[in-house]
Amino acid sequence: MVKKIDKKVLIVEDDEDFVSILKIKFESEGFTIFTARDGESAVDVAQQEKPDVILSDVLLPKMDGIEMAKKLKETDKGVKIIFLTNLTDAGYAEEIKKMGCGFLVKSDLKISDIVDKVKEKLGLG
Amino acid sequence: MQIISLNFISYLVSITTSLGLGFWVFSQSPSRKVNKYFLLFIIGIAGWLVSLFVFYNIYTANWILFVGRFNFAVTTLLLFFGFEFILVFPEENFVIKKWLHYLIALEVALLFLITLFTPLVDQNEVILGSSRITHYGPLYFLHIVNFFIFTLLSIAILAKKSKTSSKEDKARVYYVILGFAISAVFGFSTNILIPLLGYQDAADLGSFSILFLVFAFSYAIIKHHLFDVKVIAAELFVFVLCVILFINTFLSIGTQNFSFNVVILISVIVAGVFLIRSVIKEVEQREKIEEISKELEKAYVVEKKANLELQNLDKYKNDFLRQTQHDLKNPLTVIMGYIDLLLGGNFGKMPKKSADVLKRIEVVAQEKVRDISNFLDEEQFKMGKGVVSLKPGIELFSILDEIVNRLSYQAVSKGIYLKLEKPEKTFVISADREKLKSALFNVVDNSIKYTEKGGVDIRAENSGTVKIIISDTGIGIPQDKIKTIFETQFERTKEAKETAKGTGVGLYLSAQIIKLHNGKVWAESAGEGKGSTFYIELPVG
Repeated sequence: MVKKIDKKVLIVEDDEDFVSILKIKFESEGFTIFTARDGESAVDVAQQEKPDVILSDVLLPKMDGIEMAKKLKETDKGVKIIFLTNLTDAGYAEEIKKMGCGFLVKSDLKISDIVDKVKEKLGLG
Repeated sequence: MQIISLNFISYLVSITTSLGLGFWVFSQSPSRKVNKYFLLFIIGIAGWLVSLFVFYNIYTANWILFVGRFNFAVTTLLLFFGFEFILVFPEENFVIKKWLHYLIALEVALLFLITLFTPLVDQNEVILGSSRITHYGPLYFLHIVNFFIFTLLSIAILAKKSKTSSKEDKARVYYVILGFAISAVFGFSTNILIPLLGYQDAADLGSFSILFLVFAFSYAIIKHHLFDVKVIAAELFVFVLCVILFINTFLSIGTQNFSFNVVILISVIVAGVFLIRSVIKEVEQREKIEEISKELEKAYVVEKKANLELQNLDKYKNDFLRQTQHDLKNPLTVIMGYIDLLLGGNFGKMPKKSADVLKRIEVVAQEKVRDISNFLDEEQFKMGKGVVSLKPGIELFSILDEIVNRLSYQAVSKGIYLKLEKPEKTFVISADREKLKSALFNVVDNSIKYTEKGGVDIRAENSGTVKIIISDTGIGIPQDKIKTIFETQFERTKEAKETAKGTGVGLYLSAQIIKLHNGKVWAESAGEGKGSTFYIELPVG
């Protein structure tokens, strides 16, 4: 039996497989998981479920991750967002850090590292 | 006949100025139809003015009748040339049918001849002191009709041209209309309005009214070409001075006085020519400067546009590269993610042999991800794009730690060690964290690849600059290659093929990235089989 953590994570990712990988790992660690496939629906889910942290890709259909973050920050400045991407473009990284969001490179990390980073952000480290 | 009167001077100035301008405009480009018709139009005007002046200043009945008829007749020519001028002004873009053109010309010629040689238009002129009373013939109405048809046609054509012309040509058309309007208002004022108020002499200035039209038309024809206010002012000044001196000479009493006046007149003419020439030269130079500045402005606009296009292209290229990166790396990330879950026991316990295979797959996937990153970075470097954005306050050890974590399995599976010596204090540098990490990663990765026994040591020093030292116990570098190892990827590719896997662009890219960090990278080796040491020096900040 997995020990339940009272934290909600919203995963925004258009790659089905990657969503299911993250979901399995995070749920095995006791998190409650919500998912969205694009920026637009992510905004809806976030406003409804109020997740403790949002783990999002940058390139997304309909509305990209950066736009989504801007939108969410408009209503809730304290919203915690970590971008999880394969883009190593310096311009993007800078923009993301300017917004006060986390920036992780997918291919640099093991899935368990990603969970650790999220825990760190939530002060569960 | 009182020759030197205000009336005479008014006519003299108007006629000579008109003719002078007409010929001058014509001389500017004699082959152009606009200039030809303008001259003919001006000659018509001059003929009309001369005949009008003569008409009121002679007293022989027969001559008065002939001059009076000529005055009427010349109006038909005047209107015709004016019409022809409008047809080709400012551009020859209004065509009327040939047969209609001939018909109009025939009508004008007939009316001219009838007016001049028959009493059908001007039957008789009765002299009453200085007044002349015209007895009109039965065909006089043709003159009125002719006048209105040509005037209205000219106005209609001008209006149409003003709509379809370019901005500059439009302005020219407006000058012609303006000149015509001012002439009409001035003529109406001097010949009708002011005399009505009791100042009869104003009519003597009436012929000046034609000057507005002539000047405006001339300006419209050769706008932007030596028809500057300064030039006109100089010419007018010299002209008026000459006229006055000429009259003065004409009226001189005694030979001595006459010779003296002639000398003055000639001197003024010579000086005037020089004055006008110098003014024209000045205007020419100014026009040249204006032209150059216009061209510069144009070039600036073109450059700006090209720049914008380049920016768009650059953005498109960046978007494309991003998308490619995303699409190529994502499937590999998914593979690595599933392997992670499998190895982490999320799908149940796994036999050791299977786990080892999975670990091998993971390493291969990692290598592919790195190859893609390197390849895309290389593309960006090739396109001359600075892919690095430096930020101060980047902590170095955590970068090295992440690299070691990522590569430790690779080292372990080869049976070599990978050690990172933790420094006593933290080193903070200005860097693009991700790019620097991939640059250092490539160097460490390279050492692991070429080391079969022993291992790789990583440490950092701070002696004014931050120095990262990566030393391995691998195959070493031959002396003749130690300088070129970072220069071209091709050398490495050849070598890499012999001993290890990889795309061979790693060290080349590392050197590029480190250079963009204002750093230095070099390698030292005691020779083949004696290991290599890589030094990376970065400024503190």
